[in-house]
Amino acid sequence: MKHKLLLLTLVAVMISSFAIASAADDFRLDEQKAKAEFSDLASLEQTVIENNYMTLSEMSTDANLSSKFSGMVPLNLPGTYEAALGIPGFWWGCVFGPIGLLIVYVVTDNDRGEVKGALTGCIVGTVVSTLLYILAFGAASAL
Amino acid sequence: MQDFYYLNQMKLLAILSFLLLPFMMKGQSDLYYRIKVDFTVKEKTNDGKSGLTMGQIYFDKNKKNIVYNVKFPEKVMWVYNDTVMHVVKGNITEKKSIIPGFVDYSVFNLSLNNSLKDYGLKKSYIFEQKEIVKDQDMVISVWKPRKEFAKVLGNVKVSVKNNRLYGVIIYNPAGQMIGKQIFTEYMKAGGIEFPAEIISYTYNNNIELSKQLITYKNIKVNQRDEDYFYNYTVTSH
Repeated sequence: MKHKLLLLTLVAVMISSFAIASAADDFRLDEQKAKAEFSDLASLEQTVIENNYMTLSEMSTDANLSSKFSGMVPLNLPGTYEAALGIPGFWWGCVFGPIGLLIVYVVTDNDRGEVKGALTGCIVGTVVSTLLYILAFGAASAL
Repeated sequence: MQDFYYLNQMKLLAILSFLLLPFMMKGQSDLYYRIKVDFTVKEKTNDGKSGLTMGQIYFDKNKKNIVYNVKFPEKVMWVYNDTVMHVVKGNITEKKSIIPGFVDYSVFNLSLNNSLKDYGLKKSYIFEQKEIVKDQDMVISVWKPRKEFAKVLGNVKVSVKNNRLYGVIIYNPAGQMIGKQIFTEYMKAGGIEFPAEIISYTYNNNIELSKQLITYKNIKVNQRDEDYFYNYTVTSH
């Protein structure tokens, strides 16, 4: 019986390890290859610096520069609902983190009423907790 | 006798250090309150569009303002605070709503509060840790949304490599990957480690929609000048 239990436990650990190992593969990235995909934009970045941060509209009037930047489009503002509803809303995801990303996804792809209800509850709960903490801290400090 | 006295002193010092350590660590995270970086965002979408945005970012932990001094493609200020942002271009100011948590869960706020390694999830009410495992050079933790959010939010996986946040993967409730960020490089300033390069992807129905390469340079921490940007106040026009 003990041996069976040990064997079952080992099998369970191996299966769960395998499951996580395959998930870890999702993090593997050929960094050099990924960065190389932006080499054309890296070249434009250098041009912007060399031209002392001329704006895109100023560059479009310059005969030498306009063709280089012809494919450029202004992108949506990070973090706004327009960004979520237009071009995929995770641009600059590093800035607003996974919770923001998920909220954006939810806003664009799920029942708005339900999402807003959940978010409102979370925010109200946080605010109330914070106020209670401040009151308690203030009371303790006065003693 | 002297040895006994000395030993007791050392014991007392050790005990005091142990008791004071949490406060010292808290103090460490309170030491750093401002960040400024130069930024560039390169983006490509699957429909062939590309974009380049450059400028500087200022963040003051106490003000909870993220101020973008954008220099390209146009000269404009983006000011993020709480749940609103303002676009300031010359004399024109436009106000927009933003997603909740934009400032709190930014890399700026997380770095200054020493919470970047778990992407702020440990302190989040929405997520709880489901499991954690070591796989070769990574430690991967899986975070699931609490029951009340499970219908609208999916899991988040966080990987740590060399004691630094390496990657974040976000899933929808159906288990499909919707976002991925890989923190490929870091830079140091004072006691802060801050991402220098991030590669970010977004997906929908397993199709890559866009990718971004975000680079940060010339980080400055706890600047005493340039208060104009750190304390930027939007005035309506």
